[in-house]
Amino acid sequence: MNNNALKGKDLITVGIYTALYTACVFLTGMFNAIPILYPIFMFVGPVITGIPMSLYYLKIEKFGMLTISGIILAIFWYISGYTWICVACILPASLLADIFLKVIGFKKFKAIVVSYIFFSMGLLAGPANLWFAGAGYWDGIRESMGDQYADQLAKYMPSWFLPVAIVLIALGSFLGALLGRKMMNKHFKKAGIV
Amino acid sequence: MELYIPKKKFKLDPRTKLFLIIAIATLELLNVNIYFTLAVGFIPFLLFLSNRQFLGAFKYYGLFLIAAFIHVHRIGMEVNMFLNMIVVLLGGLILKLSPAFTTSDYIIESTSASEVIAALNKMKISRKLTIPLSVMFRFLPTIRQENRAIRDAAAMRGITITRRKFWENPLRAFEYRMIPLLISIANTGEDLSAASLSRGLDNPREHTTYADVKFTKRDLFTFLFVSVFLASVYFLTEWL
Repeated sequence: MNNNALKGKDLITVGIYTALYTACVFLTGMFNAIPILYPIFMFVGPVITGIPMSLYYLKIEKFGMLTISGIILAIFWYISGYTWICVACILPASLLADIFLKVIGFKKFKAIVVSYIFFSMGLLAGPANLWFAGAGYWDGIRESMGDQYADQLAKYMPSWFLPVAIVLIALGSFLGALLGRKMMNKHFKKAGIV
Repeated sequence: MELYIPKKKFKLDPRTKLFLIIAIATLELLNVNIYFTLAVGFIPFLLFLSNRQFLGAFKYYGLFLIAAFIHVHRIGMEVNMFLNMIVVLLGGLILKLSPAFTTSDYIIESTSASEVIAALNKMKISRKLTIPLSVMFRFLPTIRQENRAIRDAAAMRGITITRRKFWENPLRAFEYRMIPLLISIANTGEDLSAASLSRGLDNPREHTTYADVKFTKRDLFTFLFVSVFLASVYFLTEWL
């Protein structure tokens, strides 16, 4: 049998860590309710999810696991009210993360950093709607969240913010990966989990 | 000897539930008018009632009606700007998101994991996707439960958000909450994969199941009721 095919154990790992990742993202995503904190989420989100994701990365030994995580995340974001743009964000991000991890080598710290930075780009799914979905989406926000929120959101999230957001996410993911490695060495190696 | 007779419930096929949540998640985001939003929000209420979650049903719809009230009167309100923003924002969030969340709560309460798997198998979805999905649904409540237990244990040692000890070193406090959770989840995950391997998860042949998944009259009734109800509300409010 093909050794590189995904087996039941890998699939269960995917399920567990995607659940953890989703829980962490939704927790930090609470910040989005206040417009001025939206940019901060771009930075804090990847730092916090760095710890569970480091644990996840140390269990990945086959190609495709991150992509499946991405598909599941895309379904989740879609159901929670983001448009097709979130799918267009998350799928390439997770696929690229998977490819980089495969090319550089599984379980290597360098590969984990690069791959995690790409994976975190999926977080752009939230704000990307504001820039690409056009006026209709803004009308929806204005309708549902009130004028004040929409105005403030427009003020703090102008379209030139996209490169800034990418840099913020990359920086956050880098710090997250470092934090994750520190935690792995401090706690998990001792506990015999990794 | 007494036989265990389960309470009679209005049982739906998982595929109908999937259709319902997709329909509700899509429709509630359309900005038609407030009556249509109320009608969409009414469906999870009925679903809750059909699953005998009476308390949850009334809590949910009460909250939903309050949010709708705020939404209708949001322009006339003359209060503090910041307070106004928060209230309108919360109302909007409840109005837009709570129907889908409530429906997913109903689905999680009313469907067993094996039913979901059987239904997804019938829809010819690859097991590479169904296994992670079902594991995830099984794990989200576990994460919440573990988190609660760890929060209580931490509170006993004074690591809560209301104590000064927490703010002296918030990063350390965060570590104290996060690491035990991760360790317990990782261990539970190992147990779970060992258990499912010993039950033949990796068997390449087609799996059999106890779960009886097929469309019934109830599904037809639900489908017809939802479409006729929503369409009539839409036409009545938009063209009259």
